Amino acid sequence: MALRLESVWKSYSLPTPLAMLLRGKRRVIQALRDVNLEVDEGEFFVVLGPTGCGKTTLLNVIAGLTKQDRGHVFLDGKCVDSLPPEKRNISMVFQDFALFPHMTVLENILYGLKMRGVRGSEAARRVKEVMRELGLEGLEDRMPSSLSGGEKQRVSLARTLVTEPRVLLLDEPLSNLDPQTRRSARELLLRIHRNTGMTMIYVTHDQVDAHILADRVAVMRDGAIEQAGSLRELMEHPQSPFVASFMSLGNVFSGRIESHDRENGVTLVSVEGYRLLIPYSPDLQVGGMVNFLVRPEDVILAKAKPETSARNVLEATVVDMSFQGPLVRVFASIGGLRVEALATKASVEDMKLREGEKVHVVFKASSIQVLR
Amino acid sequence: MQPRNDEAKHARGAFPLFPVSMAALGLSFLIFMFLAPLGTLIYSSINPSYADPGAFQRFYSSLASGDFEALLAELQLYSGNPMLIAFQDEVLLDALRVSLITSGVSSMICICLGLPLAYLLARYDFPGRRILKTLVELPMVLPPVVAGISLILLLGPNTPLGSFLRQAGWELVFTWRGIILAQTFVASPFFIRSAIASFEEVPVDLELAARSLGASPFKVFRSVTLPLSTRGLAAGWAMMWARAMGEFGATIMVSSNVPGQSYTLTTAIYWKFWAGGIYPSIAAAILLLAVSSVVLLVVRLLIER
Repeated sequence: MALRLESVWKSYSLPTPLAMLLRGKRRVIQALRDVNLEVDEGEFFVVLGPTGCGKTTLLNVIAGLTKQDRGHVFLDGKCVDSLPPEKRNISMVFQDFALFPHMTVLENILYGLKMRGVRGSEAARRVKEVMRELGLEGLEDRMPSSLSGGEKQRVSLARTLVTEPRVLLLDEPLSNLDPQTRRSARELLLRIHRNTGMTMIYVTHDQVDAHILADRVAVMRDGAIEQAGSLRELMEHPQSPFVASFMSLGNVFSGRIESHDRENGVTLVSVEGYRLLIPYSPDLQVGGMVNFLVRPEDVILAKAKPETSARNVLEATVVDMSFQGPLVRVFASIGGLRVEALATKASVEDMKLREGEKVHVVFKASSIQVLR
Repeated sequence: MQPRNDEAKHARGAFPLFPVSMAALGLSFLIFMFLAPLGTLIYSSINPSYADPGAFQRFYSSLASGDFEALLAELQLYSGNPMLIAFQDEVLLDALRVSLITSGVSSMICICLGLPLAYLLARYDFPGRRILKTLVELPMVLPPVVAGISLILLLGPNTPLGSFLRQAGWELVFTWRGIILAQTFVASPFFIRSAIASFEEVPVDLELAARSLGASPFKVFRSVTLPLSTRGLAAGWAMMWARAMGEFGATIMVSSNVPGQSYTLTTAIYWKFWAGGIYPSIAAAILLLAVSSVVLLVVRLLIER
């Protein structure tokens, strides 16, 4: 295991101007709550979460740029809590690239080597290799201000890669790039990861990054890790409503448990006054609340009311339709409920479905996933 | 007047009244507040009979007609010219020397001690930071005379600290050392303010990136923070030095006014004026003006290079 975080907590106190002046009072922000994380050797680990969920703080704690309040960071099994960032051999790529504006591209790339005492022919060899790998040849004497976004991003990557860090941290490195550059930058990152086998931790709010890059993913929310695992695990078995909705897995409903029907293996739940059947599970307490996921691909649309008993059938109104190639994303509303369904273009045309029209929304109880 | 970008060019075409009225107001401010008083001073330094209205008329008409002989005669550039004599006054040259040394030393003190303070105030958040930031700016609004009184009260020969230092052979007040203290006290905010602002302008991310690339905090300061704030620091230093050079209120209170010992150019202007010699005081003023503006200009050129 390359890196392990053990129960890491971190809070910031932000001074609020008036309160500061009067009583020295501060607003406390809990940036990390009990974060436990294990990253394997050579893994591309993606931390996914909305802005302000503590992703950057997590990277800063790993790099040693911020000291955690509680908990420990282990690098190769050794606790590095007391090591300053320059002794950890963990480099970081920043969101805004953080290139030194007063140095040329070459000086920027050489900086880490100079600080780590790598000189002479060894330094020259490494710089040449990295610049060739990242296609930066010919830019040696340019100043960062004269580079394009993609070039800046590659220089900031080169600057860290050349020091051959034990772990490479990437803080939303693609968010400041235009979509086209972002695509090629993703491919570049994948290639580098394949070629070097370096352990990388990448934080982002963009789940596309996670889909393309990640070996494993952790979803963060309000400073805590909601779920970690392979992308497939997260997609197939999301453990919380937040993970399900953040990963855009589909309709997340929340309802009150009314009664069990053990014979048919279903539980009756009331959601906004509508009664739905979900799979029975012994840990569902009658009277309690439950969250569950209905995937759009499991929702069937029908004009006429289908004759089945073990199905949830709701009469809804089509609110919006979004055509995506052979598939159509249909949004239908039933009172306060909003259901997203995925249908084929052919079936939508067969039904002559239009916005504002009535449609039956059908989903099997067995296709519903109960979330914690 | 050159517009700074294309948008400004359009704006000028759309509403020419605006830049014209701005220029008119700006120019009149410049003329009445700076150029007129300074021009008179400079004119008086080359024409000893400056106060004679007839002399100015004669000077102007000979300048306009290009009659150099009359011009030279008017300027009285003969060996007995009181202005030329004033410029050759050894006391004045001594005062210049004292002014240059004291302001140089006080600006060095400011760099050595004020720079760390400015970095602290710009980068670290600690209780009382705002109060401290206000405190270091206080000398800017304080009458310099008050600074002088404070220094005398703290270090004067009859005060506890002052008498102790005197026994140790360190007489501060009423010597050139006192002048350095007065100048540092009064002028340091000019440097510290500018230093705080230029440190704050260096993105923290750059320092963090340098740390994560293996640089110690000291190396980060030397290789990233300092080079990126050099301009602001130099500008602040120049302002601080010029303020120290022109410092009068606190200086006159803590200096002994012994020529050549603690006699700055500013106090020279004052003493010469009250001693009745208008020419020596004009000469001292011109000297101060020349030295200070040359240094400010050189620093500006270096910064904008």
